[in-house]
Amino acid sequence: MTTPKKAPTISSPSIKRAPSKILIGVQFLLGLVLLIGIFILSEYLILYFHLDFPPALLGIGIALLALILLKRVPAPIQVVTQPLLTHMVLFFIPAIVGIVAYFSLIIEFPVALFMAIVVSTFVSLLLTAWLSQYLLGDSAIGNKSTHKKHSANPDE
Amino acid sequence: MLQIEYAESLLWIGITLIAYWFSLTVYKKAKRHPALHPLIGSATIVVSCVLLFEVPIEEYQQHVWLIAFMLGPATVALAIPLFNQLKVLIRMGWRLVLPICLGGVLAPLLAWVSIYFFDTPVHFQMTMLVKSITTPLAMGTSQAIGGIASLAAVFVIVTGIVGAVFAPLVFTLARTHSHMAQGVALGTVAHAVGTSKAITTSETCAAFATLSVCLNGIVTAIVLPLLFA
Repeated sequence: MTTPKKAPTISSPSIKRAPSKILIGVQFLLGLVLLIGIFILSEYLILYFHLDFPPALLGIGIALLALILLKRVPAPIQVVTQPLLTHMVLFFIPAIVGIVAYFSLIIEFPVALFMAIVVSTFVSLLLTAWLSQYLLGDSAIGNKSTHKKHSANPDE
Repeated sequence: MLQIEYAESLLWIGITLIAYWFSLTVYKKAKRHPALHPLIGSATIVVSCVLLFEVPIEEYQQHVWLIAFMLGPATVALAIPLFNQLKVLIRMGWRLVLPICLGGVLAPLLAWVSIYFFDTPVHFQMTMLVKSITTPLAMGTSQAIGGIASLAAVFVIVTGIVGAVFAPLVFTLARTHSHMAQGVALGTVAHAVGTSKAITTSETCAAFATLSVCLNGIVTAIVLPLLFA
């Protein structure tokens, strides 16, 4: 009960043996259109109801609800998810370039930033690790050897 | 005139793509060392180009709006790993939710306390509150609570890198042997950069990290606007 016997697996889109490139291409585009559609819908809903939180968050909620109702991940979504999450970093670049405008603000508070980002992250990591081990159990069961497979994790 | 604009947009999109591709290649060559996170290289190259050609940042951002727009749909795709880990979440219940939530409160609180005493501007402090959640949610949330999106992106990435680099030392100090606990700590505090570190440890570690990233991101993005907006 305390520890899962079988290590939970990471999402790995299992595309069936050698589907044609055209089919994958079509699925990819369809999946992309679906995700963009969900995002635009959430943006619209946020504007319409004057809500004050990130539209993408509502999008996650809508997508999750749809997946729970469907009880599986449809092929087009599966095909599009991994490359999108793996290369998410690319989509941050335009925003992060805006940092130039705040450069003087950053060098004004070097100690404060060091404390807030380096020291506090170190302490939080330590406390969270300790607390999780306390609550989840000290057991090393479920520790599985390193695997090489790259999973559908956002790279940033 | 219009054609020149299009050509210019294509040029900037091209520069951004090449900068990303180059940084990613270096990162992969270095066996995904967290300190060489591709965002650092990409941002450095693009900023250098923008400064070199003396283009205002706003103009650059207008040219590459398509790339920035795609962040939204890509964030929606986070629902898929969360759905895939839903069974684990239900099975572990509060023993998993509690450390994620406590860690999710602790990390921003400690960060905020440490900059509060340095007399920093309020929008700086607000931005710091989102430092431990995944970048796309952090950017939107920071805007909702009066922070700065691009600053949030930088804080978040640096936090992730610090977390991933120090994780082995921290886990030795805290005697955290359980891969589940390591995953929760990495995902909660160091978001997706931490998760990419967790992937190199084990499958279990990566699964718990993914779950923590999603859960902490969602909870923080809901709670912070309710508190501060």
